[in-house]
Amino acid sequence: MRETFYDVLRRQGVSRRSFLKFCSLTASALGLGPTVAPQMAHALETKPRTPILWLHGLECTCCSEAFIRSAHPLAKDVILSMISLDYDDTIMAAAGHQAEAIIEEIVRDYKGEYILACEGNPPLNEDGMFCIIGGKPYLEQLKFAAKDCKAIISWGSCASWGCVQAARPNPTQAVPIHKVITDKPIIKVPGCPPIPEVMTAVITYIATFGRLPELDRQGRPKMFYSQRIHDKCYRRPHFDAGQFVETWDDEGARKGYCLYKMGCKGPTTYNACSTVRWNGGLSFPIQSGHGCIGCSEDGFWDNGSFYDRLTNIHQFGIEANADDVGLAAAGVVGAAAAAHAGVSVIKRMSEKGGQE
Amino acid sequence: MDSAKAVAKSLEAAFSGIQKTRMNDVPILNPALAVEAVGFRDWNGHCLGVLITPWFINLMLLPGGEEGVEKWQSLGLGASVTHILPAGRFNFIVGEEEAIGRFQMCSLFSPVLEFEDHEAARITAESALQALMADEQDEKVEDPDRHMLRMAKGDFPSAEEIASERERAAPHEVSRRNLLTVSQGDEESTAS
Repeated sequence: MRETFYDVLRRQGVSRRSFLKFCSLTASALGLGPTVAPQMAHALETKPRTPILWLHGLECTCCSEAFIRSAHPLAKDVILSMISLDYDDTIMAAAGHQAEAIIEEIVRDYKGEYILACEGNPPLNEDGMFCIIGGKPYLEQLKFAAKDCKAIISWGSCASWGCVQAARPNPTQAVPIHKVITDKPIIKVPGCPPIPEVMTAVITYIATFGRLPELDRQGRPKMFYSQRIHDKCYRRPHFDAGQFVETWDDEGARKGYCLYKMGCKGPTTYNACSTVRWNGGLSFPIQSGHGCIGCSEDGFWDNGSFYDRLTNIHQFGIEANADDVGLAAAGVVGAAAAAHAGVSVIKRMSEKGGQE
Repeated sequence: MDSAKAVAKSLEAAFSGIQKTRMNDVPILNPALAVEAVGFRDWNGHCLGVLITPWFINLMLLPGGEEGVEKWQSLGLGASVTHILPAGRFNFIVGEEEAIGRFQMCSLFSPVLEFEDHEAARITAESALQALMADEQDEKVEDPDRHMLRMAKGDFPSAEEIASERERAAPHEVSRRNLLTVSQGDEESTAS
């Protein structure tokens, strides 16, 4: 029998009080409300830890780098105890054949129970030979591990959309996970990398409740991807008032004006950077004076320079959360649609719905 | 009422001016929309309404009276201010424009290219205001997200806060005994 999360904590000398506090904090962080904390405590005490296989395809490991820096309370110490991270070639102790054997073991012993976390993506060209893991194409490892998993987490823009290796002309024919694995639930957590606290929140939720959080039409957790950077950007009033940075380091830049004219992709980027921010909520790119590059959007490498002024909004996924807003992609036509749009937007922008 | 009307007028004048000058070369404006201040009214000592422009539709909040103007000077530009409205808690961001002074905005739409005509935008604005002022808060969803925001900034609720929140939000669903039974034999956890 595998140890539970609680067992591991106690073994590490964490008090029961701290454990219950952790449950409360995590429930709040996930937007679940205080009634859920006891449920969560019960699950963590009694359920064996969820086995996770964390595979790496074509990627840069920035997702792992982000993940291990989560400032979530206690998470940096315990998140690796909550799940049972059985395979992750970046941070596991095993090596060689011994390491590869773990995948077979987990697939065999935990059929339908384990979570497959995918960082990076498979190249299809030349039968997948552009990414070889343990002497075999990554594509084979991915398909083998996906066959009996419970669900897949597509970490980052590589696994979710394709990212830089899938940018034109995509010589290796790299494709996102959902193009290869079509019979499993997939939760996309895009971003290059995703926000650390978002990653730990997603994995904690899945490990605790054994189900996926609410997703939008594109498969992203609604809680973190239902608003654009632009919607909650602290520089937004400058956009509204037409106060723009015109050139780098001009008067406007020093005053912290809007970076739209410098190529900021905030108006088309769905992510939580302007609310959750980075480095434990310290800052995010726009706050440090650079526009958003739209790294969590599909195909952001192929949408022109990071410094090109956004002109064609529709090249990005502007209709991405149409299901929330109640707008057809075609537009708001007619009184009924307009009235509905007004009511929905109030629900969406109030604090209880998703971000902030 | 008069002050609300005056605010609406000055907003329309200021943003019409911005449209003709600073927003002139911005290519993501919706030419079908015009600047219009919708439904401005006195609210909680401030002036609240919806502003439609070809580049955004926002809730706009302006200070009421001289006192308000002075008070708002201490708010940092870009700071987030939470206001409790009948429909829930809303985060406004502080901005400043010469002609109108300090204002607070909460984005509803931007860009606004999806609006077919100005009439659609106006109906949307009116129904948004109506929804905002209608007291239809779902009691069950007691904005746990405010904790998320606090935590993201490294400000964690204390054990007392967590305990009182639990008691308040779930007096029937999880009894105190149930909560403590789980932790029987562990004296540490019984302290609250």
